[in-house]
Amino acid sequence: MSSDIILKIEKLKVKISGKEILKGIDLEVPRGSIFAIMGPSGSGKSTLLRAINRLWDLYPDVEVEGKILLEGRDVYQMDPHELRKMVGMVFQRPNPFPHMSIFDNVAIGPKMHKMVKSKEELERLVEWSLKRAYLWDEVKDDLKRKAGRLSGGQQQRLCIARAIALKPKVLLMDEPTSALDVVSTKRIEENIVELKKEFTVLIVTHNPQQAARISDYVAFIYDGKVVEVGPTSEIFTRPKHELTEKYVLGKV
Amino acid sequence: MRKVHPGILAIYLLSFLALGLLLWVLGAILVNGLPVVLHYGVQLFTANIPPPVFFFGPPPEVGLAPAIVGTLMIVFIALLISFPIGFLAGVLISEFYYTRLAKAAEHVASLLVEVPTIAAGIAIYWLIVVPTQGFSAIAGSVALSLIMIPYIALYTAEAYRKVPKLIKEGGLALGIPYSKVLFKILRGLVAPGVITGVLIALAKAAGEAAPLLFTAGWSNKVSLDPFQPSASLSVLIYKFGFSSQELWLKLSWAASFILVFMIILPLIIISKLVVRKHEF
Amino acid sequence: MTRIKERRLLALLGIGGVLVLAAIFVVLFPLLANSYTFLLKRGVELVTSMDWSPMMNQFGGLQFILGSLWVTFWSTLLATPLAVSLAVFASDLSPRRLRGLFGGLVDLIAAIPSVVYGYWGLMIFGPLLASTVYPLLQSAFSGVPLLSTLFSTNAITPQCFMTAVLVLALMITPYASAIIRNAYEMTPKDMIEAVYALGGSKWDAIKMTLSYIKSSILAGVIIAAGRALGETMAVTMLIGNSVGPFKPCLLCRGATITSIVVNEFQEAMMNPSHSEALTALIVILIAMGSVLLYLGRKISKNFVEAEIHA
Ligand SMILES: Nc1ncnc2c1ncn2[C@@H]1O[C@H](COP(=O)(O)OP(=O)(O)OP(=O)(O)O)[C@@H](O)[C@H]1O
Ligand SMILES: [Mg+2]
Repeated sequence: MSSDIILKIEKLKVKISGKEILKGIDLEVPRGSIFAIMGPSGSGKSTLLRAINRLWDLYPDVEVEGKILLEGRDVYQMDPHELRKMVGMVFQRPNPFPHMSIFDNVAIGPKMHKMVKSKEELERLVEWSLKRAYLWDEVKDDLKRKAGRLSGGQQQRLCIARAIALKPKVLLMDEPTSALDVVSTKRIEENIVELKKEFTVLIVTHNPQQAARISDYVAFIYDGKVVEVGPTSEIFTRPKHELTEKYVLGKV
Repeated sequence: MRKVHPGILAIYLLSFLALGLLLWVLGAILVNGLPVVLHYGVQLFTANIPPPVFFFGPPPEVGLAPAIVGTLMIVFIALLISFPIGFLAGVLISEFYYTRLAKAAEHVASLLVEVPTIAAGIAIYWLIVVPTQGFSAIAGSVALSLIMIPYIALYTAEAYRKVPKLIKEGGLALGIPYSKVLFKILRGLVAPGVITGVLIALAKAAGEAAPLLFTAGWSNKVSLDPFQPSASLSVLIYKFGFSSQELWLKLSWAASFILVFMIILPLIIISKLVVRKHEF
Repeated sequence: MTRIKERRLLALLGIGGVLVLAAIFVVLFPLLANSYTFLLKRGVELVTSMDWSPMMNQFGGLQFILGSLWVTFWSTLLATPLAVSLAVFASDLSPRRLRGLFGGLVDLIAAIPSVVYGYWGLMIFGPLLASTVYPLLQSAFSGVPLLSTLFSTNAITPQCFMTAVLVLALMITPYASAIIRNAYEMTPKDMIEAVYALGGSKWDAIKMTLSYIKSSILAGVIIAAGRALGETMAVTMLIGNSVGPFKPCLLCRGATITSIVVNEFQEAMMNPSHSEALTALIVILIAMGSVLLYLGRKISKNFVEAEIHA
């Protein structure tokens, strides 16, 4: 069983400027699953994701305590650059490098990590990533276009392509559809289900319906603590906790 | 016709007065300087500065080359000194804003902008000219670099600060080291701001005379040796401006024209174009 | 917890930071080192006496200090209405399409070197004023108490306090205006809309905005005064360079700290006391400028950015 847990979080606490935002989180994410994290705004979902790939390292007023194990290795003992290569991240708002071309946005990661040996290999990888992110058809004729000129939904899919180009083991997605319309949201949801074949996906969402539609497991977070966690079908049909029930029914 | 409030009228009048006077300065440089430049043509840029007519009769060749070359060389060396310092300090101020060193550097840079430039000149006189027992272009460059550093540092800091955190994190989340994110990935984003800072600093430095008077000294001949004294356009304008010789007064106008319209104006125009070209 | 070791990056950037700190010492240390013995021994004479005669070993520099303050006061006074008007004009009254061009023009004008302003004043502006405006001023105020002393002089010359003051006022106007404009454009739009909603006119809106940014205007003016105080080349070329005792007069020739240093430092290199006295005057200049800068930045903290753009 434990070999099927790709990511294990133990007693994770995060303090920002002395204020405890995460108050002891325990989670186990099974390999090859879509694991949804739900919870009201400000409950600490983004904070949790940013602890996993150690983005908090750069902020002097943030303290992280507890353990995060990726494939059994303590991420805080790893080289952060290696860790972040293994753990891709898609942010709450699209953040491509606006001044770079579509191609370069996707290519920059593999190039910097020296993952490819030839130009052809790089081109194949970029194409593969853009196809996985369902962006290829829209941009294949003009890969030199500046990323800043794409629409919000396209930018977000470009960020997905950029993240998966590194072939990460785990993909962290922070409300990837929060800024998008229904059509783009549907596209991206389809992508995510598709992506699970290759990556384990940890996705934050505000939206219970979205969690129900795409995820295998759900954790419900409230005020920096895990209130309830389990298979999606169970959480949505038989919530044990009153708060979860309210949230699932849209009452919180 | 609609009645205009006298207060607004006053604002218009005062603005036009100020603008008119300022344009007058520009116009005077053009009207008095351009004809001299056109009259002497190429030799102005290639020949040495003529000795006083009073003693030696009309000179065979009239040129400003030593001053032009001097200004370019002194300012270029000043850039070599000030760019690395200003750029690194600027990135520090923006990205490690929470360190004491960054805070102190930002504070000092904002003070240095306001230090009278003559003070930099006199300080470098004591620090370099006295121990080395002589004026030198490089002493002038050091004095000018003190003036350029804060501009480059503050513009660089501003350029990096303007990049949203989210974009920097986008790079970090790919496992790219911070230094590569800052110096490689963001290069295209910060370049316009940094280049603007450099160009503004160059424009300021090129026109400064006070820091050069007692550091770079003077030379009537073209000199490319940074350890020798050197003329400069700004010092020439001052020196010759007080003379009673027609020719030297004309050369002061020509030097003003070259300084303002051929060096400073292009720098400012380029800085505007750089910013415009990079807008998304 | 382990943190990313961005040590090497921080060390590299730190070199730049340390060297910026060093820069201020590079300015201050040589000045202090070469003036403190003089200041200790003869500082009192320097700031209280007006007998300046390096050959006779007399170093009374009060007239230069007063000259600097006098020039700064008048040029700031004259620049203020110009700068405020220009700021309002640029951000509120000028045609929208011309604003870009206008901004570029002001940038260029702000970049004209001091020595070029000086030369223009010396060759064109000063002589013109001396042959037209100054005689008029003198006769207009000749009977008026107090004001007559401002304009009384034996001989009108193109180079005098007034010429320096006027050119200096012109030079600091774009600069003060940039700071004021920065504050003007940051005024909340809803406040202005409220003025219009109450039936106010454009003029009421401008008055409201100006009163809202009063402190920024004051700060901008004080910082501009600091620049006038340290301004060197134009003043040296226009002030007339008389080392005699200071008189509160605008049409008289005079000297400032910066002008006396430019004029005498070359010859002072032969005479240690002389060069130390001039260095001490520079130290005093920096001290006076620091007071202005401190006041200006204390009143309004937000425009270091505008300062570097000006
Ligand atoms: N950089 C920061 N500085 C200070 N407080 C922060 C910072 N980042 C997050 N917080 C605080 O931490 C708490 C959790 O924030 P977080 O962004 O993790 O919430 P979230 O669950 O992702 O909410 P949302 O659904 O709105 O994105 C909030 O109270 C927030 O104010
Ligand atoms: Mg969030």
